[in-house]
Amino acid sequence: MTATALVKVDGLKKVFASRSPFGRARRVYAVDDVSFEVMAGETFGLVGESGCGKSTLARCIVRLHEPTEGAVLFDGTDIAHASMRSLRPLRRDIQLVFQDPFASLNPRKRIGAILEEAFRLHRIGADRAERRQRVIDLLRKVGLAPSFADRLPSELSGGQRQRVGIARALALSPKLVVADEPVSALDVSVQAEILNLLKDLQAEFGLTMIFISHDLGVIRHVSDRIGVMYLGKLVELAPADAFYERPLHPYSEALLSAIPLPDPDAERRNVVLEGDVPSPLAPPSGCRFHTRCPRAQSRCASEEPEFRPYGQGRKVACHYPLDVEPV
Amino acid sequence: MTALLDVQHLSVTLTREGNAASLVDDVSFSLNAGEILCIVGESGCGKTVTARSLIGLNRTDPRFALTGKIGFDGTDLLSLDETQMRKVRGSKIAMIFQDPMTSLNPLHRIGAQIGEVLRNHTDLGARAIRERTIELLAQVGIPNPASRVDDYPHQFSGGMRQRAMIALALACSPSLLIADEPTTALDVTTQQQILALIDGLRHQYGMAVVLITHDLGVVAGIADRVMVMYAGQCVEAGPVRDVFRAPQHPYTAGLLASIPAANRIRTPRLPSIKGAPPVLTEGRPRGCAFSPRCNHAFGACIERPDLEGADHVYRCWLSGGARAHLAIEAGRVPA
Repeated sequence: MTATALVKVDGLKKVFASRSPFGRARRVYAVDDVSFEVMAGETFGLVGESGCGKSTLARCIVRLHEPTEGAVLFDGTDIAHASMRSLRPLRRDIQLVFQDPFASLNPRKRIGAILEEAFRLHRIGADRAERRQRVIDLLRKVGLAPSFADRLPSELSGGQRQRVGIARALALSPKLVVADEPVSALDVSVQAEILNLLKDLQAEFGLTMIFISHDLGVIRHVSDRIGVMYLGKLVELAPADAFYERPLHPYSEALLSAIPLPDPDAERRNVVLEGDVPSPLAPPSGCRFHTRCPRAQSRCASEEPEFRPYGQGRKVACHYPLDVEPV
Repeated sequence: MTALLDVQHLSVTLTREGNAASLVDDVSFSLNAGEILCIVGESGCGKTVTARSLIGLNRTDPRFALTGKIGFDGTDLLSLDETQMRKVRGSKIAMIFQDPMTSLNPLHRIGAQIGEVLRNHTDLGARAIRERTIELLAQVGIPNPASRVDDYPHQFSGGMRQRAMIALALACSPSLLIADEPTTALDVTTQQQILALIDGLRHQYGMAVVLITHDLGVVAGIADRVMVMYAGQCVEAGPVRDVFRAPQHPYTAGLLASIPAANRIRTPRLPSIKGAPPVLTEGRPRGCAFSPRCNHAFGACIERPDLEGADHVYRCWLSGGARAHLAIEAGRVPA
């Protein structure tokens, strides 16, 4: 692949400071020193369990959060610490699709008005009639009839709302769409349609996508490359097919073996993790996964593994990745 | 062997503002001790209403009207009055819910909440109740149960809360457990632990389980039998292997085809089912309820089909040949 990186995340950290009920300062490293690149035109899938920092990472990339440290280069410009004013032209290029299609649309506005807002704010379209035409084109693109422009969000089903959410993200012809769990709230038959729509639109507009999900099945279906997060760290990065065939990080393997497969006779990998994800307030020392890792050795508790290249575009943060015998 | 649970022609009607909506329509199934039946379907298909009817959670609500028969251990639960039903609920039939945080009282200690069940349904003394509570927590895999018994729900993680809910449900060793989406709010690795726990318990105690889920992956992993619901009706039911290997209803086939499973070969497009499920309060489509979304719909579908078949039943007008083809459509057999 000769593609160039559209997004380059470098040493990104996001720390949330809070206080315990007794006034002690607490710091949560929601995203801790994460680096990766997203190539132009590809879909980068980000997986992890709740609380692993995947949504915080997404919000840093679209600058809904200001990162504490590190850089986010978008098309060569660092947007991590740029001022809100200087970001405004870039906002057209980076768009977000949210998980909950019920909470992300203003219930008092008609769909047409919601979609028109983007055109109005960015002064696109000479008059109302032209903007209205653009709204109708947009609705058609996401498979909704023009009459939807006059409806309220409450009159729409979950799938239709998510189509509106996608239409809104596409309104300004962005280069990058960050989709945060866009199909998690939908039923399977509807989910399939939304995934197909995202793929079609990506091909049509040459979009780059960062697709966040906890569902490894969905991720496999859409992604070219996959990043796995655990407690704020990126622990594995790999091309999609290689990842599903042969994961390198023990956590990736455990995640893969935990997915329920819709086949009563499927061969199931039998890696069952003990316990729960530790609190991000007090992450374990060394490798953050060592408390639950079936392969952990004494070194894992003391020394944090580097996120190092592993050939064929893969990277893994583990002292004893799965193709190495533990000593 | 007579079945532990034998539901015959269960119908549930909701009347609201003068409009009657049939939420569950003529559903029949039976379940033996130690078996797991999964009820699967999309949101609004009536699976939760069915489950809540079994344990009688909607029977005192005047808007609901239940007809049919729910035979449990030889008695028809629908004929019991509320006082008698209360004795069954919690001791012989227990239920766990999707969201363990809202089903536990945040102001009471975990131990007290489990103890309450024992106090109401057994004659154990305070000390014995505490011992039994700790034993139950240990059984569902709560580490360090003797000290965690005095914790409040907020001190438990999501997975541990669901374990505590299961301990609560198990307190009186019920012969039937109803689990309504017990793992939907949990992460995959936690889901795996909870499903393994439920599976272990039914082997250990011969407990029967009715598990409600929308995830066909969960069904494939744990169920003995499966019932697929659509628009309040059972459209297909049978042994899990038969249904997954050779689905006989286009809806089941469509559901199976549309899952982006992790073991599936990547294809450019996922097959999907056109349209959306009907909203039952606005009425069910005439004839076969699935026909407006079905690619195989033909003239006969304006009449409502009956359930056909013996062990593996289906509600569809298609001919045997056409139904045999559905397995290919569902991606079960290479075309």
